[in-house]
Amino acid sequence: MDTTLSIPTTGPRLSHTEITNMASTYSHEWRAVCDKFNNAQDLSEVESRKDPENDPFRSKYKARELLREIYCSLKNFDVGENESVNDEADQRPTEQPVDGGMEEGFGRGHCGDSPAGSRAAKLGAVEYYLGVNHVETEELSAGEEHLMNCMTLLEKCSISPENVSLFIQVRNQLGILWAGRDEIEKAQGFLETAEAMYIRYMKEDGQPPMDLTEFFVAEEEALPQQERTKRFEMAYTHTLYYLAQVYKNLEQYEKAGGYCHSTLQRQLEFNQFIPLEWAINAATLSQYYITKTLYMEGRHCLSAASVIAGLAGEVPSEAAAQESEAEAEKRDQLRQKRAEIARCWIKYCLNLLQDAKKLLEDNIGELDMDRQAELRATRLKEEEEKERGRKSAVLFGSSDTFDSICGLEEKVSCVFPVDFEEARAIFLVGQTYVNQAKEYFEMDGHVTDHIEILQDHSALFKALAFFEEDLERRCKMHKRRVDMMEPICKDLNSQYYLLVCRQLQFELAETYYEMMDLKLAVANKQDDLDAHTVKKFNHLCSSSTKFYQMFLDSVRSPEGKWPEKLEDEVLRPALVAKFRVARLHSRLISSSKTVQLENLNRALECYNFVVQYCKDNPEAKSAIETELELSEEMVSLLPLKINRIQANLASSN
Amino acid sequence: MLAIMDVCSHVKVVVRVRPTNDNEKCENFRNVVQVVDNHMLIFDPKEQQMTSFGGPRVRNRDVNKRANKDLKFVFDNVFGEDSSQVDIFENTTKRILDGVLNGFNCTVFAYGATGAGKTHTMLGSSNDPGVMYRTMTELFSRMDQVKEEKIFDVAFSYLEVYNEQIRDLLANVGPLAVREDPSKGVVIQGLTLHQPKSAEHILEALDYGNRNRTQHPTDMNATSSRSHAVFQIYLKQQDRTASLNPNVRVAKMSLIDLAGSERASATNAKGARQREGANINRSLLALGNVINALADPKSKKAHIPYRDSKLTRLLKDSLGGNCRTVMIANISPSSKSYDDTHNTLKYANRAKEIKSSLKRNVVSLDSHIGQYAVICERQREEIVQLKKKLKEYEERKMDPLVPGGSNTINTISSQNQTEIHKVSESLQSIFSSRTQIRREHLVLERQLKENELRQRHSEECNQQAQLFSHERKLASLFTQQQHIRKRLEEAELRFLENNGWLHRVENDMKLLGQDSQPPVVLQKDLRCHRLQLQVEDLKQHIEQMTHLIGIQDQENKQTKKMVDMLLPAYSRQYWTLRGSGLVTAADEAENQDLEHLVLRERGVVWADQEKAGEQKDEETQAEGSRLRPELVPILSFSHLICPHQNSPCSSKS
Repeated sequence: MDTTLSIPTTGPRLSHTEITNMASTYSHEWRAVCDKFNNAQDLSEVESRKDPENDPFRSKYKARELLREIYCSLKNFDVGENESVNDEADQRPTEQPVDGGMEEGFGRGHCGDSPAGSRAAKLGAVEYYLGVNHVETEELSAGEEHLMNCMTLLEKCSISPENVSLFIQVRNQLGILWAGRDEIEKAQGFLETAEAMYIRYMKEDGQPPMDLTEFFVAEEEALPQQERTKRFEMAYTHTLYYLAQVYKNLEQYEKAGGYCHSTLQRQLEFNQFIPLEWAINAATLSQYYITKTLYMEGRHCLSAASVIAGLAGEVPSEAAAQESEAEAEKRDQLRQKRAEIARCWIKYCLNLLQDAKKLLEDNIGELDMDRQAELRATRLKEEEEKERGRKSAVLFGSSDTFDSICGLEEKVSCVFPVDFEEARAIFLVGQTYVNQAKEYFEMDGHVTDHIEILQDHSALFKALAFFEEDLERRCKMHKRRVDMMEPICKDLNSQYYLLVCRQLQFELAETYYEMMDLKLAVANKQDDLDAHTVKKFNHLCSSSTKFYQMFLDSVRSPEGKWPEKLEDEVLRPALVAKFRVARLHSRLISSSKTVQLENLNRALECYNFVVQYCKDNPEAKSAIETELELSEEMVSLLPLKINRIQANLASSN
Repeated sequence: MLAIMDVCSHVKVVVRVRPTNDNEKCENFRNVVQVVDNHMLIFDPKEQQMTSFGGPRVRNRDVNKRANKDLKFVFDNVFGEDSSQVDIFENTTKRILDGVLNGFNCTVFAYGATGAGKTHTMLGSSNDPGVMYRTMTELFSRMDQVKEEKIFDVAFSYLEVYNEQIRDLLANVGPLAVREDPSKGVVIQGLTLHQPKSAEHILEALDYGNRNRTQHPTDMNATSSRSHAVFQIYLKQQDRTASLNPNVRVAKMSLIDLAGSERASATNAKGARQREGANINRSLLALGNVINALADPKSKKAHIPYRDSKLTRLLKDSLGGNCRTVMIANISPSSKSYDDTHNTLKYANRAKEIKSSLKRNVVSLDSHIGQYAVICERQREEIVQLKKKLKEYEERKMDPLVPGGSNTINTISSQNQTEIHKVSESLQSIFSSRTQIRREHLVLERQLKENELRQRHSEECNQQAQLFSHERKLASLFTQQQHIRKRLEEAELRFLENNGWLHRVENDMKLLGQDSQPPVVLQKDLRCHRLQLQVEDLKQHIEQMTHLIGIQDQENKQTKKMVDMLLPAYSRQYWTLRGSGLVTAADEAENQDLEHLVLRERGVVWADQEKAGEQKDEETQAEGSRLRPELVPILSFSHLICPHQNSPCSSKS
């Protein structure tokens, strides 16, 4: 197959002249066709918006009639001169071209700018508009037929600046049509060909091609180059966007993500976006990157989101909002979206810290020095690679925003922190966004959102504490977590916020537990367990118990009865809570044997509960294997310990 | 709107298929829903019989053009065309009422395209009232039953969410704001509450409210229905018995008529954009939908700013935690609404799946994994300590029982006991490392054998192919072999080391007992360990042999395949040669040999040839063994020398 491109270097100007020349014989009829086309466009794009609810497609139907008339006139125009073309087209109307290789359209049949090619393209354009019209009026099959007719007509032409746009747009339409019918592979074929055609055209020719509407306008009304580029690029943006949908449906999320990214980038580049919407999209895309641990890409999306959201204007003042409803709405929208972006930033910082922690911790959750050194070394290597990778990545930003986006990026690292200093820098950025997000998502009015932000804040502290080597200071960080959650947990009505309450209770219980462990570690280091430390330790112990107990109470029925069977989603948490309560009881320090006995008995009771529950409900076993095993052992061992203390107590009395 | 379902916990999903209406029957539409039983239906089933002589089937042509989807859907309940309103009520809201009376917030969603029977299911007609009426009557009768014991307070409200605005349908006021209050839950400011006198009164109010809706639910001409209607009943109950601690329960039941599924439901388009409803996937405005789908919304790692927040916020307190939720999806069986039905089923199916993915939402235990490991580890330590103490304790308890044991002997033996204990422990550790070493040793041996086997196969392959060079593979196998040999040596060294250790401990043991005989307990202990090790060893032998045989088996299969191919090919060639008289004496002899070889297997059959066959057999075997050594040595592993008396002193070996 001949693959050389036959695009005339003289460009669309020439071909346009030809169109007019050709039409000049019929200048009157041609004028009429152009008018009709304008009318149809106007009906379809402008008038149709005013159609009544009960006759929603009135204008579209009118436009369709006009397009049909245009089609008939076009067919009649050149009957004499182009008999052969006509025949050819009529001979094989049923044959349906299906996109195969990307060579298609390059180097076959008529030159795109020959009279025959021009005529085919014009007919094709009408078929295209008819197809789109049918699709928009929900007559998919008829729409498909017209679009396929357009494909058949184009099949005989080589790609030229005047028809390349049609080549791509008809495939866009067919692609999204088949995607709508859940025939994704078919859609993929059309769209990938469209993509390949664009790339090839831009490489081999690259001048702004003619827009579809220009087939039917007088020469003097031809679009300026800039407008042509804009429209052509927009068509290609749609190709990419449809491909994103196709890949999403094929569950190729990585590819889909890439195409979403390109779509966003092109929207920005060609200045076709609504700032807030674009910003939210970019921020959401960052969340995808974060879950894939692609922090550089995630940071880039977020920085762009912040900068572009800034383009949406100043937040109207409260006073202005009270004056007018529009201002109030605008104020709310701006504040909300910016707060949402801030929340995406929080997740960025949090995940970066947590992922670093995962890399650095040993099997009992402490900082592993070897791993730290290892990470440092690999990071050095990766940094160079990343720098190279960055140059090839698709970057957001027009000339005026690019610098601000880069500036924002520099404020936070996108590599895993290896020590406290680095972790702290990320933490502080996260904390700034926490405060920013809380400004809009206030407790009063946005309870669940506000608490989610608090939980993230707490998680930030927790992740930071991992990097802190000083145990006292680590303990203080956990104290901060307690301080922010405890009052809220107490105020919240569990009738309405049960889920949130449970989450808070569990987290508080665990935080106290952690603090208790830290206190003990500190005391052990100093080698003295004075009364004050013991008191503190016991206090932390019972605080932890208290919150586990609150969680367990929330599982009870309104009458306070413990359910015979725990529901699936609380099964593991409830049994784990019981297990921990048991352990906490046995850890309480007391010099009094009687108190010791009491605590151990309570602990035994809880261990027994876990064991008994699993005996009664064997299906629960798999949910808490480790805890059950330990509980069973404790149930067999604790009574002996208790007996000994009892015997001891009896003998000393 | 999908976001709503993401926060929902227990969703029971039922599907109701409405009967075909006359209109659809007349127009000769196909039935695309087949109800299989109470739980399953098939969408677009494969057609069993051919359709009768072509009726006017032009309009649903695009449906028939595609292959039948034949999708099976399973739901909590499927109600066929002949189900009654009572059936639906009994299986959906009736059970939910128990929840409401127990103080749980409950929610019922009705979902489906316009004309799919949603209104009939929810409202019904005056002689066949729907779910709402029946629910109210049931509620009132339940309250009546216990009116002696309890005081009830009932109120209701009716509102609409349209274009992200909340409107009170029972009062003429402007858009309302929704906020979450920490103690009162979700509050819609300014929403009017009404006290019902009877179930009928509520229905009248509903009717009144429906007339106020932006789109009346029964308006079939509405091109798109984007209005969600939310009807809520607040129930407060209190014990009549005057007590200090009055048991007050508040619950809320929400009945929600979700906006139609026939339009892309996840958008909140306004004005002109509304027109794009059906074609929403074409518009870049929906890019957000694609991006949202990329990051897993259920993972707590990411923050996804959902765009349709009002309804979600409105129902937040009704969907989390201890709520009960039912979704009634309504579909039409006719091919006329093929796409709508498909969409509704897909949505309902998604809602159903949420149930199983909720666990992650409740209390996230997984975020504390690191710390959790520590807790379990410490608990294990504690258990080990307890066990140790217990052992000591029991031993002490046992000792006095030894008859005739005087005090002195007692102390000695107790000392002895601890010694024995110590030795026993070191035995334990020796053998555990010994097992480890042996395991490694055997694995290495296996690798070595596997390597040898593969080398042999490779060599054979080389000989057979000759044309192809397999040297590279052989070389890599060879280096691998070297490597394994080295590691094997290391393992052997470690084993010797372990042996020396064991020897020392055995000497210790002798010192402990009388007449240089180790105490019986320890002897048994040692024997036990040895046997255990042997068992482990043999187990591994078996496993590894099976593995090797598997490899050989593959090779055999390959050979067999080759023979199967070669023999017919050879015989064909031979006969062709012979046919054209080109056979030489050497060829003839070769053929003779081959014939014998082949006949060997059949030798048994021909008794008179048996001897000759055997002879040949021996010959071939001899030849075979010359070419390649027996397989047996390769398939066997080194055995553990297991002295039942003493391990050799390491210096000896």
